[in-house]
Parts: sequence; C-alpha cells; structure tokens
Amino acid sequence: MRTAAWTESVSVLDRLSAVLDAFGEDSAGLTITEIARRANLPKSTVSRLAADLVDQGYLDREGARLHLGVRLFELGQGVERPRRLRELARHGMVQLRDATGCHVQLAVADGDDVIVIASAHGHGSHPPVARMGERLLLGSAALDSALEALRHGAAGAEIPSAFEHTRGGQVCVASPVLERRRAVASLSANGSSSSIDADAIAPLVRRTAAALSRALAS
Amino acid sequence: MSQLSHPFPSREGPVSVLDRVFAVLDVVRSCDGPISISGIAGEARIPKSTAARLVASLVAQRYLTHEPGGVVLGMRLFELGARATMPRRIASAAAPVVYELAQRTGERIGVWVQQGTDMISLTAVPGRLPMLPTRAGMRSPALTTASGKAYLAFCDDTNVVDRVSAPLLDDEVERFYDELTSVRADTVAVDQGDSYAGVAAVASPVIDRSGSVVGAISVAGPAGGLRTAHVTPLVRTASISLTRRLTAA
Repeated sequence: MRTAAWTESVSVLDRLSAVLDAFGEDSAGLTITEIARRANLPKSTVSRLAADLVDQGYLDREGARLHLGVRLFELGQGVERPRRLRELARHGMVQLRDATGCHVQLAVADGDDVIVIASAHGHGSHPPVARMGERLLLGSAALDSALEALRHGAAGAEIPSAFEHTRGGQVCVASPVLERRRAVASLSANGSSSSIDADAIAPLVRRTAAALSRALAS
Repeated sequence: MSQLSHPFPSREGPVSVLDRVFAVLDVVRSCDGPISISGIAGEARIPKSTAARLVASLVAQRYLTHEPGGVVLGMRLFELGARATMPRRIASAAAPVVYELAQRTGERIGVWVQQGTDMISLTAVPGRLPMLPTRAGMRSPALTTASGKAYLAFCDDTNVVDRVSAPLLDDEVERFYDELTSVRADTVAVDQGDSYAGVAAVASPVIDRSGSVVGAISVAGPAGGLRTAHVTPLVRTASISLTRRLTAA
C-alpha cells in the first residue's frame, strides 16, 4: 500500500495536509512514527517533511514529540471572518453566559461542516462541548440547531428566530447572526436538558444574535 | 506589473513546492484584505502560472478562500491554528494573570512567543494606546521590543540571538549584548519607544516546566505616560505567576 509509486502520486500539498491533520485535539503531541501511521506515509517522508515544518514554525518540537506550531497559530489568527465575528461577539456572549449559566458558542458554516469560532464556558457542569476550532459533532443538539439557524437565517424577520434541539440529555438553542439578510454565523446557548429551560432563554439568545447582526452592519 | 512592483525583481523566489506554499500563505497573511493571483505571484516571487495552480489547490483544500478581489486565508488554517499546543497552553495559563495585570495597570498587556526574528502575540488586551491596533497573532520585531529583549536575554539558543541581532553594527552588537546581560540581572526589559514611536513597554520572560524561556509578558503605554517604576514590579510578579502556572500545568 505505502509504495514509493503511491507516495510519488500524492502531491506535496496532500502530504502536508495529511501530516497536519494527523494532529488531533490531544495536546500530548506526536512522534514521527505516530504521524507516519496516522498520515499513512513512509516514516522517512514524514521525517523530512517534519524537519522543514519545524524550521518554518508550522510544527513545534518538544523533545521527541511534535506539536502544531506557532506559525499555524499566527495564520489561524489571520483568518478574517472568524476574527471579526469574535471581536464583535465577545461582550454579548459573556453577558448571555452570565444571564443564563449556559455554555455559549458562536459557529460558522464551512462547506458541510460547522466550526466553532468562539465560546464562553458555562459555570455549571456541562457535557463536553466542541472547543474553538473544532467542528460540531454529527448528531449533536448543537449541530442540528446551528444548521437550522444557518439555513433559516434569511427568513426576513427583524429579530431572528431561535431553533431548539435536545439530544442525549443536552439542549441547544441557536439563533442566526445575519449580515445583509444572510446567515453568517449561529449563536447558541447549550446546557443539560434537566437544568435549562429552553423557552426562557430563547428570547435572550435571539436578542444577543440580533445585537451582533446590528454590530456587523455598522 | 507584479515584477516591477517588487523591489528586488532579480532575486530568485522559492523553488520547492513546499517553500512556495509557505511563501504564498505568508503573502496572503501579511496582506490587508483579498489579494489577486498576480499580486501573490509578484510578492512571493513565483511565476504567475505556478501561483495560479498553487492557489487553486490551496483553495480546494480550504487553506485559502475566494473573496471578491482575490483570496484570503481559509477556515482550515483557523482550525489548525486553534489546535497549536504551545500557544493554547500559554494563553490559557496566562488568562487570569493578564486580566489582573490589566486591572492593576490600565495599560495594554501582551503575551508573546518568538518566531524567527519576530515576537508573535498570543493574547492582547488593549490599554490606552489607540494609535496601535492590537490583536493575537500580531508580529513585533524581537530586536527592539521589550518582550523580544526579555525573551532573548534568557534564550539558550545562540543561533536565535545571532539571527535577531544580525542587522546590528559592531558597536551596536556590543551594546545589545550588554543590555541583555542587564535584562538577565533585572528580569525586566524596557523599550523606551524604539519599536513604535511614542510607545514605551516593560516586559519579563515566561519560563516553562523544562526551565527554558518560551516567551514574555509585557505592559505597553504612551512613552512619557507609562509609570515604569510602578509597572516594573507588577510585570515581574506577573511573569513569576505565569511561569508558576505553566510549570504546575
């Protein structure tokens, strides 16, 4: 399977992506051998590529283990759309979190995925939630609500609607953030269905999303 | 046009595919808004046809995305950047320390790590410096900034210090190394406005659990307005508690 011919047929960019994608959420880092296995590339190829990536700051080396590096952090911070939304949303998200005790998230669609771009952690104990930069999980209340909010954003209402889903004991209330009548993000409050009254928090979520939409327009 | 716009049109650009990828991403990053294919080709010093092919691949793989007027950095970089371990580790350890330092000084607070000859900010709290935009992911020169000197004074890697100080002339180099020696003794570095006109800053190093310096924490304010004597012990204390939080983590 991992023949030289196969390797050659894979472009440099594909190899780069395979190596970078080998790094998951765990922060323990990976050895060359682990990356090679996950990326399905020969160890020698990974070793050469990793040396270049460390040189350029795309990977950080910590002993024998490698981590996604500072340069990627820098590039990630340079992505305009999430940065602008985060800056405008920060204050309102914290207020919504304090008012509801919920875990508050802001997410954008990217292709078929919905990616979390900002979050304000709730105070109570919550089921695990997607972190910044992660995709919302298939089959989660958070994803279903966000997708609905992003799809129905441009319904034309002055105050955007709220969409609610409950899955596996977790409830999520999401409302679209609109820019030029298009939904550009989904703002949501998440918590356990035993402790959250979705009807009570829906107006607050809608109001926060509406305020963010107005801030985007100005 | 792209050829003429470059100050060194005769200098050779990157040749390997990987180096060209790095160059293209760097050009798009340092650009304020969308940039066209010919703009990228000129800035990155690669043939336009190559740039077009590379940009198409980078768009297909979501490293770049199309916008009116050209391309911008794409969501894949946002996802990867959010998972970068060291920035995440330091930024989360720094959050309460930065908050307290901001409360006590009212000035701009930054946490920085070194990259090449620059410092890159991991977190930034705006103070009373309206003229300089501030955000995480920004670059500042390591040679002249307080955070850069605080980092370099404790950096074991002489290659890094040499690379940063390379533009200096002989007597300047000597003065620079003398300054680093006194920064080591004080655990505080000062920039009286050398990096940005009218902006003074004070910084202390941040050490990780292996005992090596990983960055610096800084306070910046208007030159002449920043109360250095008041701020210095606060920065030193902040650097010690951040170092302690990193070591405990």
